[in-house]
Parts: sequence; C-alpha cells; structure tokens
Amino acid sequence: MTCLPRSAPPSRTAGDPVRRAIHLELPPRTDYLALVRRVVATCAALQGGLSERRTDELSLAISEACANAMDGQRATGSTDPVHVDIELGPDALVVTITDHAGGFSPDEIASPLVVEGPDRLGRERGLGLPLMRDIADDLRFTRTDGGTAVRIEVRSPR
Amino acid sequence: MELAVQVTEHDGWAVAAVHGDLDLTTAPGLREQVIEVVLSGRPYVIIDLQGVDFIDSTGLGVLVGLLKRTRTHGGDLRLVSTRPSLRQVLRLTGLDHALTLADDVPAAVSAAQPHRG
Repeated sequence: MTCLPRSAPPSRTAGDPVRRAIHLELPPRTDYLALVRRVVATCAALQGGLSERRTDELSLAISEACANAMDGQRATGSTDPVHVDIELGPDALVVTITDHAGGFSPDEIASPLVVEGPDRLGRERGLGLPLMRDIADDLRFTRTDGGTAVRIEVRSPR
Repeated sequence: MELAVQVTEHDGWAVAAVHGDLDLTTAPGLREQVIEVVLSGRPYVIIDLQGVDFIDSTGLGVLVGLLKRTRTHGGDLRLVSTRPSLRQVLRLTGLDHALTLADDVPAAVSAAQPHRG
C-alpha cells in the first residue's frame, strides 16, 4: 500500500508506445456499477493476456473501488462524476478511479483479512478493500484535489 | 439491474434461487426476502447462486449476515454454485471457512457444517 502525494501525470516522451485508454465519467450512483464491470471485462477480453479468473477478479476490484467512491460521494453530498480511466498496456491493465469524496486514509480502514479466528463471521462489512488489496498486483491511493484516486494494476495471469 | 429470487422447498429446506448480479444495489433485496422466509418459521435456508454472474463484498456480507440470522433462529444456511469465480472470492475473503458451498441442492442438504474454530 502506498499513499503518494499528488503529482503531475507522466509526460510521454518520444519513442513511448502509444497507450490505448478509455475514459468513463459516471454519475455517482451505484446502479452504474454493473456498467463499469461490463466495460472493464470487455476491455480485458479485447486486450487478451488475462485469464477469465483474473478478468473476473479485476472486475470485482474495480466494482469495489467504484462502490467506495460512490458511497463516499453520497456521504459528502458531491454530485460530481466519478472518473474511471482504463489503460490497456501490452501486459497489464491499469484502472484508475477518481472521486470527489474529500479523501480518506485506507490505512485507517481495514486490517488484513482474518481468515481464521472467531471474528471471521463479523465480516459483514469492510470486505471490499481487503479484496482489492488481494486482487491487485499493485494498488495505490493518491490524494487529489477534493478526493482520492485509486490506481489498480493487474498484470499477467497468476 | 434487477435481482430475481424464487423460493421453493426441498427436504425441509427453503431454497432461494437467485438470478442476476448480487452487489451493493441488489443484495439488500435478497436479505429482506430471506429474512422474511426465516421469520415465517423456516430457518433452514439454501441460497442457490448458480444463476449469479457476479458477487461483490456487499453481497458476501449479506450472506454472512443471513448465516448468522438463520443460526440465531436455530437453523442453518448453505450455498449452491459450481462457478469457480464464487469459490475463488469465498477463498480470497476466508469465508470458505464459514459458509458451506455445495454443487447442487441435494448435496447442500447432506453437507456437513464446516469445522468451526
């Protein structure tokens, strides 16, 4: 887990491969989650390289991140769109979800999953972030102006 | 997206067959319907998830809550699905230790409870 300060987007230099990217702006309503999952799964399928299982897991991680973003914006009353940027690299899918929910600290929210032990049935809430941590090959939270950007990278099959 | 839930009976168990995506939007509807079944005096419940394409953390949380609810009323809750994606997400969350998953309804009825502790 890394919390990075806000930084400028990387500039493209000559010789870099052209990145294919898809950008969505969603109303902060949870009934758009199914749409996001379909778009991400379709992108993964078009890109190839990810197994069906990893594609399912990526869709789940993105859905969780978007649900958190929409929940956060509902709590703060923000009606700004939630941004979903999907970058299709040669051997990775990178999805960044940016909200306007005022920002949060992921380290304060969830401890690692407790697989064994008496409190496992207490896990009715708070499963989303541990799932994202488990699924992503790389997961980063960045504070933005008025919100949080969650960057989820899923690489080759595993 | 709508979630369809159809409740039938098998060997004294209420079987709730679910179709659709079980997520933040739809999971509360499943919770309400199954709680209604439990409160009507049928605390032994099987949730058939074979028709569920996707489940998120809220959906999993609802299943855990319903497991506790059925046991509070002296019953139990078991799941049915052959989908690898469901098995995987239960494993990732550690909930495979708590929730019993069977391949079909008869297997769910005869399944032993998972080891506790």
